[in-house]
Amino acid sequence: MYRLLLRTFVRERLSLRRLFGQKIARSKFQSILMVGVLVYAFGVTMVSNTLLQYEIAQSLKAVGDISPMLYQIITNLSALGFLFGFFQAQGYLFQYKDFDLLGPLPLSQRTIVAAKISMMLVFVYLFALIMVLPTYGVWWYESAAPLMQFLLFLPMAMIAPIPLMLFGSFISYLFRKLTQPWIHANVLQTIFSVLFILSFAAFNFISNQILPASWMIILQDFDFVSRWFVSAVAETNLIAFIFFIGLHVIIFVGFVLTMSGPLLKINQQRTNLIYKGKDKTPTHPQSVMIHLLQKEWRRFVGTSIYFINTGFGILILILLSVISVFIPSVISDLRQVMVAMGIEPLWLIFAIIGFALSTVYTPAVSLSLEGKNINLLKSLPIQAWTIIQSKIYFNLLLTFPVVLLATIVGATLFELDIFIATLFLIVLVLFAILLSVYFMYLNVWFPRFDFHQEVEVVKQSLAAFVAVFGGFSMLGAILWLNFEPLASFDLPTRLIILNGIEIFLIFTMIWFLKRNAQRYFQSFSV
Amino acid sequence: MLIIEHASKSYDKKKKALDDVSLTIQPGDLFGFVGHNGAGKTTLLKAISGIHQLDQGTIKFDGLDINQNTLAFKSKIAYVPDHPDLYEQLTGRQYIDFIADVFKFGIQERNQLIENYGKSFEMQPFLRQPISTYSHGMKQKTALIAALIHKPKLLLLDEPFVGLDPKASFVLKEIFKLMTESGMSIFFSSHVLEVVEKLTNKIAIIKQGKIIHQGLTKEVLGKQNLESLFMELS
Repeated sequence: MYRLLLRTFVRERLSLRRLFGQKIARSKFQSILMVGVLVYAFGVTMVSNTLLQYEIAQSLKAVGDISPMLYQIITNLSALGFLFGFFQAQGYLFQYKDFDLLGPLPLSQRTIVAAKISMMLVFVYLFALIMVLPTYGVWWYESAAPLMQFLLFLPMAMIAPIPLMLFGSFISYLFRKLTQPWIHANVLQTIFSVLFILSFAAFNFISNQILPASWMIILQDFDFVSRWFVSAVAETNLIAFIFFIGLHVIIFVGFVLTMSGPLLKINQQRTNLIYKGKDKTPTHPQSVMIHLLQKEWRRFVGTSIYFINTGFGILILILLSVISVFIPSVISDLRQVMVAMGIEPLWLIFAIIGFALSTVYTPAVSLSLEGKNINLLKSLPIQAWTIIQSKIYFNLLLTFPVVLLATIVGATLFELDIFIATLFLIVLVLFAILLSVYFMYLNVWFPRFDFHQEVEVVKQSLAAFVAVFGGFSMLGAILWLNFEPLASFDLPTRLIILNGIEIFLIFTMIWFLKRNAQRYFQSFSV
Repeated sequence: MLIIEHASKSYDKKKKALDDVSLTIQPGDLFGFVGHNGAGKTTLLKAISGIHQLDQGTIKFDGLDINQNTLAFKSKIAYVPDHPDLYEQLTGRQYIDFIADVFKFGIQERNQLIENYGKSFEMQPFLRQPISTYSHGMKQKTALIAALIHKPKLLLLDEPFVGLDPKASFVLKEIFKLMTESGMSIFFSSHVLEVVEKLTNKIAIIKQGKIIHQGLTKEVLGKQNLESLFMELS
């Protein structure tokens, strides 16, 4: 039964239609473009990662030990497992959409849980191909390892993500259990998840300072699992191999045995809600735009994966702005270093804010996230352009306040004069609008309405994928314009020219978008 | 025989979706279940199929308790929800095979049944296509074929006639009759009162989680029709 279930899950989850959308693209040109982008991105990532790993291997060889590469492999696999478990358990392990289908079947809950975990692992393997394969390939090449070592490596690498994946799933389950009774369960879970990840990151950042050295040594000693992995692969240590496999199998079986019951229960209770709020009766009609913006907001805060992926840049900018205020001396030193290098400090602010803005790609996915509701929207007497505008405005409502905060803090700490700071703020605001319109373009071009889980749109859709990389490219293009063709102009002139270029691009893109909005909407179907 | 005793369930710990429901469905019964939207029909069907857990009460089929002999219980039933959420990337045939494999149903007989049901429901030309390309009615037919393929002893259906074309509705009613004649039990909810009235031998009317009327269709209705009785009771 386990194999039957897993085979069915793989067929369902990994079909090309599922990965790339119902109609892979609306034209042959789009299909070719899509395949080209994917092949290019995969190739570039693999090649650059391999080259990077090769450089690391050369440095390690110089000190006579390349085993840290193996530690890196198991760390990456474990981290991938944790992130997948933490963010995907809800939807894969519990509160999955096919519960109504699987629930009435004579399948043991343990079999279902084991097959669901295995399906999550399959997704981890896909990411591991990009992240881990180059590292192992370089290690294998540099150490001239025999085939036996690969045969030991493969099963260990395949089960290495399990412990932290199950731990991440358990944390996610606990959050869900805590928040489930409340009507705003999704929002609470999103908040918990963000706080957890930020706390974890902060702890990692400062653990060296706050934990006594003896504790760190104990923690390192506790990491016997990684040592088994390295010893089995590097020294063909069969005992370490057996210990490693045995421990992971015990963890897997233990989780399935102990958690199957609670997971079934949380699935069966999925509609339990405690509703304590009172609906406010509206006193006057609201504009369509306000309704659309409210809808965007509810979806944003109510969908963890959406909030975390597209809101992280905003959170980081707020955090950086606040932290910067408390470390003026560090900022001052940084400013002096940049001046000494002949780089105007404001471009550092631009790079940081621009980078963060590129990750707030809500318009690139929010149309797809309408899912089957797109038919409802199409049936209503609302202009397609109004819907598109609402998605752009929502993005700008998210980014404008943060851009303003970060620019004011940055301009103050880097001692920009008011005229330059104002021109610079306009460059940033226009950049935010430019990105927003560009993101929107991607979504109308590559819509994806036939998803089962939001993650398929937010992380796995072509629009999301191209959005982030395209955003970085735009950032790079503006910096290049500043440092290369416009280098001979003084700073105010450069800022004015950049503003002009951005305004031109924005108006051109909006003109095309507005002109074709209705046509695009007519072609949408699900 | 399905025996439901004192079944209660609440989603919010305040209002009861099911309130002390007791029902018995004998072999060969074609049992209709009617009530307003939100009266508790789907909740009861989902509780029988193991999707929801009751707060109180028991559900037994052929002596098997759903909580104590879960797999044995489920191996005797089939459930078709009102909006079947099937594995959309599978073809209709792959999905039916998946269900048949879960019930360990033999390949020879399966092929024969798929052919027969495929023809009856006019689904044969589409079974090799992905479910994602199906209309609602085609999904409903696929779910019905998958439910019938393993010859369950109890068939649970939530609004089975919604989305079906007239011919498929007719075929389904004929299948219902054939199955109940062979000793199978069928328990279905419906808002189509004429169908319930003409088709069933037993009915139950549920209101705000409570069964307010149940028994042999002829006896419950007396001289009035189901629509007037329903309007009178609601």
